[in-house]
Amino acid sequence: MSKVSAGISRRGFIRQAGGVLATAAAFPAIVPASVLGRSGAIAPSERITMGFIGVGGQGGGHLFGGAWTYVTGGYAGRKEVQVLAVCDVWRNKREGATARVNEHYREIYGNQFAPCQAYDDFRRVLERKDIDAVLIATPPHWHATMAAMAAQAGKDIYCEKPSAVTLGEAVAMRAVVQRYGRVFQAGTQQRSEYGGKFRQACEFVRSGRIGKLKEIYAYRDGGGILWPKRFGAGRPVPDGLDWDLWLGPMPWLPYDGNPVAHRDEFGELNWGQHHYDIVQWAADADETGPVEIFMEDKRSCYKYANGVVVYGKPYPDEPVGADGGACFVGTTGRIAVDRDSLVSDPPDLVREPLRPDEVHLYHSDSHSGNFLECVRTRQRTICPVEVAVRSISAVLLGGVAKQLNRTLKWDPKAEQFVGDEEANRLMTIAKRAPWNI
Amino acid sequence: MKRFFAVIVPLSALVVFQPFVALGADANEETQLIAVLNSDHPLRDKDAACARLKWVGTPRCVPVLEGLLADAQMTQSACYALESMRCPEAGNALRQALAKTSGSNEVCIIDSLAVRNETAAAPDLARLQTGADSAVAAAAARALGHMSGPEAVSALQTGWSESGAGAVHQAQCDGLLACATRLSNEGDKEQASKIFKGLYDREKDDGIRLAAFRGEILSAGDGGAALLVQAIGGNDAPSQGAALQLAAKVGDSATTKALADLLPKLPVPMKIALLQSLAQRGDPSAQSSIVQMIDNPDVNVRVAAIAALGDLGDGSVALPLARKAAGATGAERSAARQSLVSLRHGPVTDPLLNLLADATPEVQTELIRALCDRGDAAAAPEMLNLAAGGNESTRSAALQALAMLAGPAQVQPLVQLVVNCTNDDVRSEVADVLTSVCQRLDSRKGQYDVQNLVKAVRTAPLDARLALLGVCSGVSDASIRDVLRAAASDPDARVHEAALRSLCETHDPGLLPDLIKVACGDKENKFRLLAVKGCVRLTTQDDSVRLPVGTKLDTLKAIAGTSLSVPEKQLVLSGLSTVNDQRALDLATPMLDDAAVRLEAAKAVIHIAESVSDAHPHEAGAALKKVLAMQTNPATRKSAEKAYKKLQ
Repeated sequence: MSKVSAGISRRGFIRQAGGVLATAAAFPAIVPASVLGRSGAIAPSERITMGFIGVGGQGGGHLFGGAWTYVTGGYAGRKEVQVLAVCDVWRNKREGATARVNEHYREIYGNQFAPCQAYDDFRRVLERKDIDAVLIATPPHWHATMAAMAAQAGKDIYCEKPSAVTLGEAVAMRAVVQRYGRVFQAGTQQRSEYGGKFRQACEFVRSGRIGKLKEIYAYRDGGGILWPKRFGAGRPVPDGLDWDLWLGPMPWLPYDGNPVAHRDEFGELNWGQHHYDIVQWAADADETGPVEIFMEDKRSCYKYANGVVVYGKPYPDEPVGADGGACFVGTTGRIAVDRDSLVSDPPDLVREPLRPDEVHLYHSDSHSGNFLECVRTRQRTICPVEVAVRSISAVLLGGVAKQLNRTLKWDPKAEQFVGDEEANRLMTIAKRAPWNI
Repeated sequence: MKRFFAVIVPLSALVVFQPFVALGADANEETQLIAVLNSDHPLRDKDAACARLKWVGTPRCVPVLEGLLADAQMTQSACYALESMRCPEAGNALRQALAKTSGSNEVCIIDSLAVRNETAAAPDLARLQTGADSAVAAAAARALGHMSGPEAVSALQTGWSESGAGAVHQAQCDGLLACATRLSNEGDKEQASKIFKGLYDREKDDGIRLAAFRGEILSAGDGGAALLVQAIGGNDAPSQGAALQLAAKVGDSATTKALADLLPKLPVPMKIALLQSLAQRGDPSAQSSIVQMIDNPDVNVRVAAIAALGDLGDGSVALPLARKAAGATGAERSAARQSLVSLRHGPVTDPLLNLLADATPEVQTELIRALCDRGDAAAAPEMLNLAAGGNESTRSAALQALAMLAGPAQVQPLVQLVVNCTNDDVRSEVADVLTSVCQRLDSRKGQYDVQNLVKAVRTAPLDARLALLGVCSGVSDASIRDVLRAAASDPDARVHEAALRSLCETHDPGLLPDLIKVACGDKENKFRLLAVKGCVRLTTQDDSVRLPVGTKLDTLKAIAGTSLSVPEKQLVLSGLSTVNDQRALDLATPMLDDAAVRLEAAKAVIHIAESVSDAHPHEAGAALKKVLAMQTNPATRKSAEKAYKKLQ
């Protein structure tokens, strides 16, 4: 006998939009995200309930507002969101953030709100049936594992970059998120923010304004993570830190006074995904990857099957591109873009607005707004897991090439190095139990 | 190649801190690493040896690694090495270790077997899946899911129970979903579908049911579309969620029609979601159903429908969209305007133009706006007609459109329009548009006939002449230069001033000498500041003008050599700061002595010094030292110190 639940219920997957609509996919419609059909309040049953896992600098910024979140007051300030859980392995962070959330809600709703709870263990957050979505802003070695577990628990996921720290876990995470049909947004917000510069640059490139695309200068190259130094002397674990949960899938090592997010990384693992997300978008490679990775001037570089070559370094004498961007070189011109600027040579290439017959890419003008809208409508976000895995794979492939310091052949369909066991060995790192995906 | 020989070098240092050592099959190195693992070396060294064996290990090292699997402190290190070795010995070692380990060590080994897809371990995993240790059982279930295959499927199905709960049950569900997905991808849709349907029908957890239904749709072949449509029209949340996520890509045009037919029957949230899915499907056949939604009582449905039409619609929806753009407010209006711009199925320009004649003024304005934003140059002739004869709002909209759309063929008619205008405001508006058009055409090296403009500047009625003199600032042409120079000497003061104003705003580098004359001339001349501004703009800020560095410097030097007011000096300094040349530094540095512009001079000097520091470090250093000696502003001092430090 088939089970039928209550249809679109109060806690169902689809929420009354409450007047909030953002952009849909594949066309440049811009609908303001703040249209409210009523007096301004949204009933609790119609809010998207969220848990925040990791509330340090990045996570705290998402929760309360920060330079890169572009929304005053962050998610806590959004009327269509209810923050029900805050989780961090540091007691002071989770308790401080929880108190701040509750104080904020108290000011708005008086005593009529479900209080936010603090958690040490994110699994307790995932167990809550009343939480729709989680935002993961932990150290990177947790990202893929946590995202996969969140999907398995029926949560939609916003996950900070880098989306994964090994090629193997990137692929595994994607499989799980797809399998469970969850909405996923990678924290590569450049596709949405910065006034649409990055999208425009990619639209212009893909519309042929620089002729045939030949080269891309990505300003940063590959990176990865190293097996950490273990079995050192160790120090007392600070009071209020759950070191075991901080480590998570990392191999066990005694507390060494270095609980920083990007320890044991090399190269551009942290920032590279921003650049390669735009590289892939402009090269129309969101569903594929390079076929060859080679080293030049000690930087990892890439060749794609369509002939495009990507260099993991700046374009000579072109400062635009350094901040999250790239320089695209075609047969008749070039375009450079970063968070501050969009320029071209000749200059007119980027001055004329996009015409209807040119390539129009997914238009979002708020990365968080896009995520929330897709949680409601079950549509694909602007940075879904498929795109995220390909962009982080580009970074990680470069990392393998840097480690081996030689040219590698990659099969983007099979997602394996071609006939190269030495390289294929570097695709995974054994995870500490019980954190395998 | 590093060697780990008699000297007990901390292996962790060699492996962890030198990851870029070239690899290769080196039997001696492997021998040494094996020796470390068999010795009393500290755990740190053994861990480093395992890490190194991940790179270079062969079947020779498998036995010693196998021995470490039962050591609680070294299990993960050994797994790290064995997991990625392709040789069958590594898999055998992991399998054999299962019986010798327990708890988290056993889980670690199981996880490595899963990563290796070690199907020979399936019987062991099947047994462990039902064991007392839930962590081990869950890991075993997950691993079976990784491996797939009939044995794995059978084991999972045997272990799964409708009444199950907790981590093991969750892992079994996940394992079954993974197996079914792989079966479906490999072509065994029937078996996959059975597994998915079984989970959907019998599982309690809605997240699992959603995943199962998703799998059912994807493995149902041609039947998937029907499942999808049925689910969206149904009342089961998990299947609706799964269906909505797939609605953008499953099925064909018949599916599009079936989905579109659902629209009127669905509750508002589903309507909105489905409208977005239909837009993503990109199938224009949904257009007619979507059009019916643009007057829905719910504003959010209307907005979603209007937005969807932008992606799917053709010229036939231009009128309803234009009416919405004219009559609606807020998000609806924005969506309608955007959709008019986005329409791209079939011809759109002609339908938009054809609607103009019979449309209300408000709708006309929206149609014109759309044509402008679409960049439809073919609309320019019609825009001229409306600019000449339309009502006020239509004329204004048409003129704005012409500023973007007009080409060479519209230059002469626009000149004539200026000449024929009887209203000063309208004349001014048309002149501004003509200026924009000329600048745009010039910047794109477009060719157009300026003779009518030249003639009109000379012979048109005075008001028109004055307006057209302003237009000349946007044109780079020898004839225009002549007529501007003549006008600048005209005895009529109004003509003289209009010509000078145009000269100060010119984009023509051919007029630079004339501009310099004014900038260096009588300081009582009320155009002098404008002329200085024009010189600086033309030489250093107008990116359509490319002048040699020498010309830029000569210009700024000539101006700087006269008696300048404070604003004029500031302008010169702003220009110098963009010239990356030592001579610019030589011109800017003395201006540090002028207290009235010391701060601006400091900023300019710092900027130039940074740009020439490689080629002229001595000169740059001297200039920065002067800044530091004279500058008290903290932020500027900080910049200067940073630049100076970089030089050192």
